[in-house]
Amino acid sequence: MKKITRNIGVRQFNGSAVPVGSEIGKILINSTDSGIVVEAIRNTIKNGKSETVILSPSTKKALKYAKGYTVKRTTPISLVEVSKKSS
Amino acid sequence: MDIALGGLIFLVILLPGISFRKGYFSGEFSNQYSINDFFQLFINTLFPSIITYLAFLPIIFLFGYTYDFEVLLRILSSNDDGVKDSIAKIQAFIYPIILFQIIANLFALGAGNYLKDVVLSDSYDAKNKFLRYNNVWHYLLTAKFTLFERSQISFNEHSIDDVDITFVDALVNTGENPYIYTGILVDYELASDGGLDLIYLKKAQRELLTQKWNNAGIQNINGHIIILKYENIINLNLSFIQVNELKEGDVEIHLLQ
Repeated sequence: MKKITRNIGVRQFNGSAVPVGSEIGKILINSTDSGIVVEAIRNTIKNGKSETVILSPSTKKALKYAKGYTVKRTTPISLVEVSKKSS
Repeated sequence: MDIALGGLIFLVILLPGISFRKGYFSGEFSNQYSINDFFQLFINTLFPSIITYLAFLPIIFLFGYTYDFEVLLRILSSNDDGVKDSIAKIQAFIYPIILFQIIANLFALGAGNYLKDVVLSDSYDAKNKFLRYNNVWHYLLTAKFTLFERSQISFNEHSIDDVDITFVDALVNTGENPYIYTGILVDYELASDGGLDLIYLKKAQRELLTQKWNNAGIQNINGHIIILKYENIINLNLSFIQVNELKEGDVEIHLLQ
């Protein structure tokens, strides 16, 4: 069984407005991989078979952020602060 | 009794019920909030108003106040002296009354909103017709219609919680040639009467219906979003997609079964 986690947050039906998708769906359709995701969806609907989408590192990182994982920063905080001060 | 004064008093009495309805019928269900008929307003707001006043009775009692129904009845009577006396008594407590009304209305608004959240969170509205909102598009576009008792469609392996993306095929009449627009449904807008007004699609494509079966002439629609007016849509085909995360961080896409 390849599936290891439940989708991020699971779809929420309460709140001020009920969305038509979930948080993971929102991340994917707004990511740089949205083109391949939508292509996979079209193929899935057409063929009725599941499709695997290889995501880019940035989308994987966005999914991890959404789950609350700590992702290693590419720029150390101290350097960001120094560059702000010097500018 | 001055009829306008009586009406105003009734309205003030029913205000917590109105606030409760505002909270309960908010967001995409706000079309049910407005009531033009006073009798309907009375029927639909009396019960939550009474509940609110009863809930606040012990609280105001702690502060040394209570409800004076005599004042209320006299103000609604035809006795001018009684009305004047009641108005004088109300004026003497005008600030506590205003403060009480503000707090009671905020409580009723919050209670209505909370109850709506409770009903929606476990889809009690879809499972129980009594709690169902008068907004069929909400149930269609969120796949909650599969939970209707009457519905002959249901998911065997999945639940509506599994819907991550809703994909739409819309047959749109734009003149002589109908087009099929396909794309990811990102949002929708309802008209004031509760009907569907607009749908928003992302990553959309379109093709002429006459060319559909040979896959010729598919056009990618560039831009962030395309908005389709429902009045031009002949029919909609909805596909509910689940996205599963895999070990490597990639995802698997499949149709809900």
